[in-house]
Amino acid sequence: MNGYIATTLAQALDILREDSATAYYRLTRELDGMSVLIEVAQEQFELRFAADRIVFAPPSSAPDVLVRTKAATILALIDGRASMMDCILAGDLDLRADLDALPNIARASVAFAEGAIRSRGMRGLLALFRGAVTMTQPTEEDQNLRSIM
Amino acid sequence: MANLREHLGSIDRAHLPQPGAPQRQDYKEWYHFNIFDPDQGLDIIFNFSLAGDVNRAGAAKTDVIALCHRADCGWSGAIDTYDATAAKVATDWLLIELGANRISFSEAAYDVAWRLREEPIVLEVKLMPRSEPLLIWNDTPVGGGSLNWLIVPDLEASGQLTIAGTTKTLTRVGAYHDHNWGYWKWGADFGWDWGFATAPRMAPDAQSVTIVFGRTVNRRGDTIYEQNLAIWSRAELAKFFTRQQIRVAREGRHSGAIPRMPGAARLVNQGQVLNVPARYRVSARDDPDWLDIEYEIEAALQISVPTDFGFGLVELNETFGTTKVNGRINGTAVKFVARGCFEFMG
Repeated sequence: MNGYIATTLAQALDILREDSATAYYRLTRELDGMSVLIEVAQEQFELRFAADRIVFAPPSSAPDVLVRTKAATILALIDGRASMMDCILAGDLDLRADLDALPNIARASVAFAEGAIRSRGMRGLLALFRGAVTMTQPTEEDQNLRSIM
Repeated sequence: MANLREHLGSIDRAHLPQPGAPQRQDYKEWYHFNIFDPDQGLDIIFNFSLAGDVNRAGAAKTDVIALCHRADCGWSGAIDTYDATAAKVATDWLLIELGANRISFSEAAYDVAWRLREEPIVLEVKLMPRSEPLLIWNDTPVGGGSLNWLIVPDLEASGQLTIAGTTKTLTRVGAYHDHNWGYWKWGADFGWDWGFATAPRMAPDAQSVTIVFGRTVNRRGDTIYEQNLAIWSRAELAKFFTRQQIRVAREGRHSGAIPRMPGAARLVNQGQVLNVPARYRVSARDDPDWLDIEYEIEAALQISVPTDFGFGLVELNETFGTTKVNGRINGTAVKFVARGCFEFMG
């Protein structure tokens, strides 16, 4: 679990708890009691939510939620270049969970985004993440100005 | 009449709150500039803003904003955020410094050096005011707070813009500047529409006409709190329409793609931006003076600002487009077509 995705996510959650506690606790309460398996490229790890704590763990056999995507897709979502629906329909984002859990997942993701926008520390972390993704997956876009659209 | 342009270094000073002042946490102030270079297809916005209790480290922030719309490749730019204590802001004269960024006023002109932290945009420009300023310093109510406004509507800009390694020279192109300050909470029950356009100068000493429109409304936009339309002619304020003299209409919906900044705002409001009109019309009547403005939006970008009330975002829609102006002011016909900029906040 020491890949840069897991490390970055752990740092992001620490920043969220510090800079935007309301968003952090809204996130943990929406996902309370759930396990979320995350697969990004070669990395696989699980987040387990219980009583406002988030524990990083090895993947289990039956997580409540599965998120499978690519680092470049994560950046596209953060940069607003694509919506979640765009990514799902394009096959770049795979989200699997019971139907009953989907509203909680949606509210949790909005809480994370709301908190991230308000967190000063998140900007520096995003720059590091962007650099890491660019180094491993350089694109033509990186050679030119990153246009907003 | 005194030439107030020469005194802008003092008039355009910052209005930082005193330590311990009530509502200091709601303090907001910005210096906003637009530059248009239609020959090169360039529309530029740069803005320096402060928000919060600037006398306490960690309690306020500074945003350095640069947005550029190029006719051949769309929007570029970013909002760089710093702790407000990183900025040096003079209170008796216009001087703002933050790293490589600087706004100052000397020898009757604004000197600006602007550089984004990560995006490859660098601007160095001198802006010479061509019109007298207008100062609206009456704590105009906005939500539960108040707002003040200095407008320098017509400037001549010369300098260089370097974007993605390409340098473009700006030679005596048109620009606009305003400065807002006050105390309010984002997300309170108010919004605004604001915009301007300046008639193209066909000759260096040709008569210039600039229109600046502004109105404050409730958050839904169905109640008007205040509205004004100011017209400058030959550097002087020539006419000021207000309140019931003005009618405004939004028509249609802008059909082009509208990006969001920061991009992560799209994870909060996941649908498309649907609240930018296709056209915006302003009609002003105060017999025998009258003016009709038709603004056609050609490019739009939404800046999302976190509310000061828990979760939620306030949307500032920045637009550029073509403005057609027609009317008669003080017995003189006014008719021109020019690049304009309007902002819709709600």
